[in-house]
Amino acid sequence: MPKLYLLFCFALGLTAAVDSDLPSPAPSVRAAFPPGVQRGTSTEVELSGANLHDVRSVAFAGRGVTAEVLAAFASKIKLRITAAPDAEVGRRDYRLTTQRGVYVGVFDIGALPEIVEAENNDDWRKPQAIALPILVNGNIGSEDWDHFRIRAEAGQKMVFDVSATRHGSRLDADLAILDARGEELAWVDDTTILGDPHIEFTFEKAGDYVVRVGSLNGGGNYRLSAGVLPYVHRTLPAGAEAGKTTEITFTGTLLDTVDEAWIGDRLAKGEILSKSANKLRARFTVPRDAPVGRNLVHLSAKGREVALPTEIRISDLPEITVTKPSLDWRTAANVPSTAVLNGVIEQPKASHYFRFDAQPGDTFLFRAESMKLGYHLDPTITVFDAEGKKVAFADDPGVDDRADEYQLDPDLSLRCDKPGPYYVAIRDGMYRGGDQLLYRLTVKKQEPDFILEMRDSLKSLYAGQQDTFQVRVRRRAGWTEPVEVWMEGLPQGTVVERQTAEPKDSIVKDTCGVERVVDGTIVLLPVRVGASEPGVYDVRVKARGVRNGRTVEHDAIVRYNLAAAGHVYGPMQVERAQFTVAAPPSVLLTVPDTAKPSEPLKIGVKRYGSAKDTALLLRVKGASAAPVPVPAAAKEASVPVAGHAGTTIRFEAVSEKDGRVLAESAPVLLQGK
Amino acid sequence: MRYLAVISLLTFSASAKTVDLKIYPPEVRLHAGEGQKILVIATDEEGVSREVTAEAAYTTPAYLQVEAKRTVKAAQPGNAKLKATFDGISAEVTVEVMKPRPHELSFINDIVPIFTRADCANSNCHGSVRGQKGFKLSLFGSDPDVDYDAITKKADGKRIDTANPANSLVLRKPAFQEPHGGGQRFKAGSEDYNLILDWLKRGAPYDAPGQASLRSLTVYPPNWRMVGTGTNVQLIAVGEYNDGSVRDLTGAVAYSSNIAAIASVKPGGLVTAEQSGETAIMARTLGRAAAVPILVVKDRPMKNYPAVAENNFIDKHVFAKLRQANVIPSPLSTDEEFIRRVYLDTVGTAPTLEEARAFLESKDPQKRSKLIDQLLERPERADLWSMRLSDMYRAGYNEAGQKGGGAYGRFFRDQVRKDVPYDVMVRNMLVSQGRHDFEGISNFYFVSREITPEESGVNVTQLLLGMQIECARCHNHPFEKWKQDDFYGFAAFFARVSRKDMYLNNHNGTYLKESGEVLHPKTNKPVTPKYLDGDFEPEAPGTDVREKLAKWVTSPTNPYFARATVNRFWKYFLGRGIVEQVDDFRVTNPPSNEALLDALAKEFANGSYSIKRLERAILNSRTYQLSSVPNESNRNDQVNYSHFLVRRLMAEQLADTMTQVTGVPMKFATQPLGKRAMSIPVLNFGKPHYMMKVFGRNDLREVICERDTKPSVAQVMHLVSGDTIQQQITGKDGNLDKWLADSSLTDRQIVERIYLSALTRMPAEDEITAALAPLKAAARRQTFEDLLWAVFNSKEFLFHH
Repeated sequence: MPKLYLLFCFALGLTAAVDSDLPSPAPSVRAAFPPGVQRGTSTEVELSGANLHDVRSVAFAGRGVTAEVLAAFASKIKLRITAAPDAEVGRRDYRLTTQRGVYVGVFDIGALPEIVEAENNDDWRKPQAIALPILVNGNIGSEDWDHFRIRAEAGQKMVFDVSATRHGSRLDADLAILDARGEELAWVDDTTILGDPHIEFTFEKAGDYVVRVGSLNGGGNYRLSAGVLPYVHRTLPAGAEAGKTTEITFTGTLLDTVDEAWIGDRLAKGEILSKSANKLRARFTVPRDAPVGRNLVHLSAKGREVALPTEIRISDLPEITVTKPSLDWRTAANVPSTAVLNGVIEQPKASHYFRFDAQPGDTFLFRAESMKLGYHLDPTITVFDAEGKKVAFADDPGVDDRADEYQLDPDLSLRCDKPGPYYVAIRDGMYRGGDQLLYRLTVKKQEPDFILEMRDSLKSLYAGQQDTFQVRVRRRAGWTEPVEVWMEGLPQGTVVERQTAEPKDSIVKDTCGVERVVDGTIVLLPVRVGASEPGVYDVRVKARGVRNGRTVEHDAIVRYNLAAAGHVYGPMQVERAQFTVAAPPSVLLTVPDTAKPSEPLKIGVKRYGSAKDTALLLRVKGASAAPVPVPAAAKEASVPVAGHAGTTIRFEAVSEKDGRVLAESAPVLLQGK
Repeated sequence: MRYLAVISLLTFSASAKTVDLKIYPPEVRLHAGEGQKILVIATDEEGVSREVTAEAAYTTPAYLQVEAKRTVKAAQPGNAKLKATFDGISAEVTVEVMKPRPHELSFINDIVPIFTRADCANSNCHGSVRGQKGFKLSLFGSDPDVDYDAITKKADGKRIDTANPANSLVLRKPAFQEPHGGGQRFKAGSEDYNLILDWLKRGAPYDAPGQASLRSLTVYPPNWRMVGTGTNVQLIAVGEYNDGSVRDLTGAVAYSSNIAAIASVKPGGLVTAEQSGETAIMARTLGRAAAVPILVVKDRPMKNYPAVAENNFIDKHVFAKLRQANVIPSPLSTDEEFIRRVYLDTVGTAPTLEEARAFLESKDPQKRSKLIDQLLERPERADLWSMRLSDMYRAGYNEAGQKGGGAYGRFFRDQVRKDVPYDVMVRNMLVSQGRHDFEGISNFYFVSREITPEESGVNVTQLLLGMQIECARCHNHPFEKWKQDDFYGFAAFFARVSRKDMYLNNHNGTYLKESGEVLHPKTNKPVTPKYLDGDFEPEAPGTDVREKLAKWVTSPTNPYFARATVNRFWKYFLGRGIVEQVDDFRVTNPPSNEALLDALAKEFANGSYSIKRLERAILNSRTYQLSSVPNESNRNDQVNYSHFLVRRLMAEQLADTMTQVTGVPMKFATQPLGKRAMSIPVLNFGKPHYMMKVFGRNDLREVICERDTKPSVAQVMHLVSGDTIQQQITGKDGNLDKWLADSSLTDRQIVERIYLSALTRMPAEDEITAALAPLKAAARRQTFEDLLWAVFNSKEFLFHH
């Protein structure tokens, strides 16, 4: 079996067709601040990153969120983002398109009044006063803590919820409540599966308290929701069948204040059947044509809600809520051969058993989901035969390259070789129990199949460059045939070679150098960009396999790029793969976003290809300055600029020899005196 | 002889009447035709005992003799009574005479012990790791298989000559008939020489299968107080074999003294008191060992030993031992000493000004016990215990990382806050699984990157049972009864415990694999879980065998758990374990006060393993509240708790008390300003705080997880001119600024505040005068900064006393 190492795709690298040290033309965003906006409002948001100056559009997935570009520089752009009053609360993809590439990031829509932290709040004795309810947009740097003073009444219960990883931030936040003497009354590091902290606190005494946000592990931005707000820990069942009415029980806190419940973007309104402080029952009718997939649940009190870290699925299978699980295979209840079982492993060491009937030759697929939904169960699936003898077991899926979704939810395929009852059991891999150990166990009689996934779906290459696209083929229900993979929608002049995924799982080396078997086959599709017209092209990766004369063909699922979306994984909200061809530059000018009008400006100059030994003249556009000669060997130039503050200027690199314009810089804003 | 008579008079006063007589062994068992040495011990009315075996008169049936007034012999099987009479007092023991034991010369039971007895198989000679001059024996005869190979097969079998046995190197070298680096170990023609020669003449055979092997070794008397230097006591050793037979091994075992300067021992077991103190005499053979604690006191008991009040059962046992040792405890600590000590030991800092004043001004006779009750409810107590337990269980070890270590530390804090019974906590830890950063308890097994059954076994025995069995991983334990079979049998309880990757941020979890086994390195076959000193426990399908292990570990009948635990906890308060080191319980390292250790263990078990209840008992004891100032009689005592043992404050105690005194918060990496050092579970993660490092906050990489309490030049330099002290004394907006700005405070009152908050006492007049003297020439703030510096650098501040 060929061993594909992760770095292999990078090792293929660029060819001699263009200079190997050409930087990527693709835009990238390192941070957005504030990382969200309250619905019904507009706010200015700054994105910082690289290659942003030639932004053409910023478009949000879904309904009700728009962006206007106010200013764009190489490493920073300013947007005005507007969220409609009825925009769905929660994470939202945005797609930033420049002339030379596309970037997909995530942004958050909130329902609470928002402020930005005032960064002189490191000392708990000097906290920033905030009025509740509120959503604070903050940023944690190195050795940085943000303190906020709140007022609480005796016996008052409040929710404090930090969203960081769930909206794509790399901040691993922690959260504390301090009393007036600075003593910690509560402290929490990781509450959600991705590590965002959450505290529900009942204040014994009336008085001022301090809320502290910090991090044990690096920095990033966060959104702190605080106040007397409803919050849902668990949604059972965590799925609803399209076209059916489903009764859902929510477990959480301050739920008696809830007056409205929805699934998704007004996909299904809930009829509240009963509610108490910790429990709410509601009935939802999901339209028959509702798309199958991930959704958020929204429970709000007078329009106020906190974006939840857990998800609910709309499915096309019968959803069963397991209210009285069998803890022994001998007493397991019958389940249909195709259904989704929703339950909670509340007792430590417990397994939930289900009985299903099979005929020889039937192939079943069992899929456990918990972490994917935002819960804490580490599921294992075990299948027993009629005598209770274990015939199949699955714990964690094959390890991945850390670009994969953070989850330990396994799939298990089983071909039954004899008739009769079988038993499937689900338990926690660490034998834990608890109210957050929720599962969805899909039992499905299924023909052998495969799943196709595209990892680097937003590639930008220069004409003349070579590279690879990484694709993953995961086999399910006993698929054992090769799969042919190819790409469609490419511009003329660009070629992507078809590849065949052999039915063998790939092996990667992890960061410790240990070889690990991944779930599926990593396929690298070599791409050669010829004389293609620069531009952004929608592309599709497809795959086809033949089994027993049956042809199976799939489009690839388009997933987030890890580097783009922080800890957000899985399919993009808009699954659109885009490939950009950029014209290779002969000269690249590197400029800062801002400069002082009276001071010489340092400009990086890099030449490529035929311009390598060309002497240049640097001309300023938008301000008065004499052209500056840049000798052929110089890599930097100092340009004295005279202009008014607030003026935006650019630089042109002109061939000293023939006067051709070889490059234009990103804009520079003159600031100050 | 005259000398001995003088000694005898010294130790057994002619005026003191015998009030008790004991015979050892308490039940004599022997085989017809063989002998068993006995001891007769007389105790006088002053509690002084001496051996009177040779002086006693014996009454026995006709078929039983006491030869040379020391060895019981019988010609035929039967049961009888042996009566000894001395000074008008009689004692009686039963004598069971079993049928004659067929005597077959045994390599294991007869030949191997010779090499231990003759010091050939000790760690400095052929028993060392590499052996000596190519000849490698097992340490103290712990592995007869190895010894047999070494003697008869290794070096091409040149060590024996069965054709001409007397020419064998194995005889000629120790008899010094050939040059031998170890000199003469026994003489040609001696009993040992002849035994080996006899064995060689028989063809140097190994024992036939089924040969009896030594099951236990017992040495009498069980402990001994030697009154007067130069006095003697004869030890006797009895071996029990797995076929039920017994042997008098008094002359067969190797004896050694832990501290020969206190009591020395000769081959054959005669012990001589050399000087006052405590030691233990060890007896070893065939991988078994036994020890007799020896207390040597110079003089007979004091006639005028003062009455010492006892607060509780702890004092009873401590003071009884002190009385035995002719040591008078120090007086009760002053209120100032007590409040500082009890605060540091319960909440980790000295008392605040207000707390100190309130206590010192109180006239309530019950104020000490009331204060203890209050302190036991303070939340900071849980922080201190969390730190102790985090140290013990290595919560901050890098494998768990800051998040895992923090979760582990918070688990301990939560358990202590709720006063969860320690046995319950341990049981839960033993069966723990989970994600390390979420379920803190699951870090229990995560002390190395890959969790192995062997390492888990070592950790559990060392942390929970106070024993080190790691030697038995490679060979049978030289000082203990543990064999490789025991080691791997115990490790097999953890065969399925493993680590799983949780992906995000390198998080990990501990879980039970579906299957797993431990292979014995010798046989390469799977090993069935086996309790130490107990039975096999095969894992039933669908169960977690660790649950049974957890019950066994924490069972009140487990002879190790409660004793090992109370010993550790006792050390936190008294500064020294009753068994020292705390994780080195073994026969050859007996407790300094067995009765106290047993009583504490019993109290702990009877008190539902409540740490708080045990702590309350310790803090309320007079023993804990004794002054640290020694008197003439207890100046040299370091093991019997006759005075409070002075020790350096822990790094966190120092940091937090300094901060409390100055009101200037300290900053630790990755922690917000002002967080108490004691409340940070993983303090040294990433960028260790220098003060924490030099004052012994350990990195928890070793299972030996006690703090380094040694003084160092780095500590001195840091206190003299380091960043920490500079920031503390010059820091703005602290207490000093407040005091200086308070016009109602005189300079004298500021001095008093500094003394009371830092040292928990008011300054003496000469101290006030000295403190204020610089004011004439220096600025006011500078003067008080200098005073703070001087106080922080004083031994009185730096030490727990």
